[in-house]
Amino acid sequence: MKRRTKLQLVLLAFFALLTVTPGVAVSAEVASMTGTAALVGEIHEEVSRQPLGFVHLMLIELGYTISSHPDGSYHFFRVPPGEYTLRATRIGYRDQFQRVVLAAGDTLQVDLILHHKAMSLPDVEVKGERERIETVRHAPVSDLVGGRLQRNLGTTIAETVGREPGIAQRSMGPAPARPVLRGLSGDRLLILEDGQRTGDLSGGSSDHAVAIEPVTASQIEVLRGPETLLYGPGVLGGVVDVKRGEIVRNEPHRIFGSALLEGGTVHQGGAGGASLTLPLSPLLGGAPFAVRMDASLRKTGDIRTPSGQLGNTALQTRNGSGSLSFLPKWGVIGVAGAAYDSEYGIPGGFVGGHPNGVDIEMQRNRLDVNSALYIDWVRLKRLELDYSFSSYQHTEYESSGSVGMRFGVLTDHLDLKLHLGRHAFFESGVFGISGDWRNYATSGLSFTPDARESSLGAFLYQQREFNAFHFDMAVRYDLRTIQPESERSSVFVGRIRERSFSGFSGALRGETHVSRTLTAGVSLMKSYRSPTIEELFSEGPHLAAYSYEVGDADLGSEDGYGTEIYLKKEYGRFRGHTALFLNQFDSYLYPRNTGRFSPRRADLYEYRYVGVGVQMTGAEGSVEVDVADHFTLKGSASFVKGQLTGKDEYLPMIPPLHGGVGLSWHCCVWSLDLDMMGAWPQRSVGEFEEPTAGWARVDVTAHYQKVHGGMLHSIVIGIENLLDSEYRQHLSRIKSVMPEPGRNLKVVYKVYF
Amino acid sequence: MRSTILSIQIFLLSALLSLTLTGCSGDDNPARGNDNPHHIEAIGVRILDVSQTLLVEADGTEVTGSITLDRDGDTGFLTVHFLHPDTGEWYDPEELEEEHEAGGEESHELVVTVGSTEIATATHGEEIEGAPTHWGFRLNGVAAGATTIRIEIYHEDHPDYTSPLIPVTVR
Repeated sequence: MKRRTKLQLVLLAFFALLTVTPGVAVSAEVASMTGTAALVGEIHEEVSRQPLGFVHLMLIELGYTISSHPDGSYHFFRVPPGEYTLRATRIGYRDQFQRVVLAAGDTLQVDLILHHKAMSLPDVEVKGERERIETVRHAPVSDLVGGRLQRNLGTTIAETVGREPGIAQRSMGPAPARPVLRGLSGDRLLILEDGQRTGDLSGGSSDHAVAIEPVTASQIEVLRGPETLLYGPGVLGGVVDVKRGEIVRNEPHRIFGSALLEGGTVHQGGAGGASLTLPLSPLLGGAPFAVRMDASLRKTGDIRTPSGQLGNTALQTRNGSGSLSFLPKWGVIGVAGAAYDSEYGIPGGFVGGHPNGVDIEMQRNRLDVNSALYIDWVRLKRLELDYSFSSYQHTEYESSGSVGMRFGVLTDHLDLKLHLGRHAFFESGVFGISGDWRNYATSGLSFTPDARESSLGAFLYQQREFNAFHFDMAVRYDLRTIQPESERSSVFVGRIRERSFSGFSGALRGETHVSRTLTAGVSLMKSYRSPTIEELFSEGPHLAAYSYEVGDADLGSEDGYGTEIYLKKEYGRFRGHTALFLNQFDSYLYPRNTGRFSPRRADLYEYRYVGVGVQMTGAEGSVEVDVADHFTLKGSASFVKGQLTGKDEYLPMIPPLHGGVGLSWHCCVWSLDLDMMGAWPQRSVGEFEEPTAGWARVDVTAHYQKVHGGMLHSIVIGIENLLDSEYRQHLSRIKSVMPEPGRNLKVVYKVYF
Repeated sequence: MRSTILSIQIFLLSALLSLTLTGCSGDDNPARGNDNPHHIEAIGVRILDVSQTLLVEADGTEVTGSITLDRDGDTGFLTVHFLHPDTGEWYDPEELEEEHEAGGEESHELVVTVGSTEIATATHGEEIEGAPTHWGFRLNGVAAGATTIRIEIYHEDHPDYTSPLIPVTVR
């Protein structure tokens, strides 16, 4: 019997036993576990004191989101007791954060006043018994929500987050793009959808797109540090979590949703999408059920560049999901189904590439079951069990239309998390186990064996606050087995056989308020990443990537060590952040250009997966200064240098020094942004990699938002690359053929109701 | 207490559902068994003349030898053998193809591409009347000069093997 089946049977038997004999599992002390709390309040605008509707409110630690009513009131009902961070976001206003402490049976009222951007510093008015806590613990390093998300909305997730400090994007045409954070991407920078892995293959190759449509995203968070180990052991780069709220986790008390239309001239196309959340309790006699659904369609043509049209870059994407949630006061049970499919092209014209490029079709279907049980017993706060299954298929068509390559990945993912309250030294934390089972197959022009992969991880995340000092840490242990369908020897790859890996990862972060305006912190992290099926066993031409990739069946795991020191300053009209970091790997796994042609395909350069010592050093910073009422001057810069340890050789595909400066004007219902972004030349290149020239481009954006007819209307009109500058991104694999897109008039309309 | 037990039971039932679904992936991988074609495996090519004398050997990316012919002349019928990556032995593709066809698999095609057709042209085996095999070709000299050829094994519309550039001189 296979190990996986055994594990399933053991777990099934365990849960079945608990189900039929609840008395064994439940002691009398747990009787209070179903007590929940409520958080209510009103939100007002600072100058007029008028109520503010359509404020996006989130209890960060729970992932609960609602929007305030048109009369400014809001209600979170059936909240499990605990300490949370309430975040309020509204277009044109500063984000507000507020710590709230909820006990069973409490109804806490927290009224907020939102302040216009570029005005005096925010303050919070709290009416309630609980003490106000200033510190925001779970602050992401970047957070796109509301108007910022709408302004930055791009064709892909990478393009959407690409303006954030420290982030660049690796691309191969407009569709297959992935964010790169501090020079790290692929499996070292996880991209999640509602906290779950996407099940796609975008981490493995630059021609594989991320299976997430940004149109229906409500928030995109970038996380770094100890909490990233909740999602995986190898995430030294961080985590990009795209939140769509697919499964409703808190009971809505009205119908709400949004719709978005977007268009651009540079690709003569656009996208549209909508989401809708409905409470079913009025229809079901008060039974706490809710449904949510969303759908989107994107259709764009070939990209126009200052040098002409870039052929085979058209894109069509369809996305849809639906969910049903049961929201009793003791927890949540939600089931969701989602389908995503995309057709896109990879431009041609390279040595070894098809003259007309390669066409790719991608489909991903997903099923999610989320359960949460609110406990609030002794030190145990909440138990969560999330399951997801995804079926991913990706087919590369050659210029004649016949199949060149097909990838299929079936993934089961199971996550069990126990949220802990105050215990021993720590205030709160999470203990959990997660398991993944992957079934990987290829067909077409490939010699890579089909394989199965099983992984199991256990993790613990804890945090503690001492007055002005905040401390959090995480440890994780992972086991992974990769089993090819058949064992054989390959002169290229080595002995293809079952491989097993295990390893520890851990992280520690300390942060202190040096003064009322200055915060300093240090973060240490040890990551562990076992090689993927592709890194071990791949052998075959990757037509879309214009390479012949060869794995190494003997590769070991990759251990990374990260150190970061950072400062955050908020003083009057000044807000700034700077960080220095050092990331070291003793066996950094990547496909290295051998500089010679493949013996099988002597028209394609051979890339071999190797594990080498690597050191990445860098710095990043961002500032915002309210130079006058309504005016904000902003700037950011990021730099990273990647070198092979002990060698005078640079790592390929490392972004150059890049950043931007801008001036924003916010007033009433309008905001205007003038931004200049650019990059220095990249001359520190890897072996067989070409240098890239520096560049600059200018964008101008206007944003208007107004409540009308009981709905919030938000319109963004922008011109990207205003001067139609011809420039090439160092991380673009097609930079030798075509520059980046030219001038683009972009319109994004979003209505919240 | 009863409602607490009920809530735990419902939660555990959902957990049970999750664990039951964990078997979803099964063997239904969409990429498995999808017209997986049989590729000819080769990492080198030998070109032999009519007397089976070795003219050129491309072992991996290393090329030894060259082809020389006269303007307005030809090379005669040249045959090819390939180097198998696993066995390390040179083999006649004719024999391998017979095995493949017996197994109901698709046939493969030899394609010879000349760098400059102003210097030389290639005639493939199936275009030559009385050719002993379609795994061969003939080069025809057009004008004096140097060019290259590339040998490929085509399988449907993609090459299973592509040789390095092989030098050709027309006197």
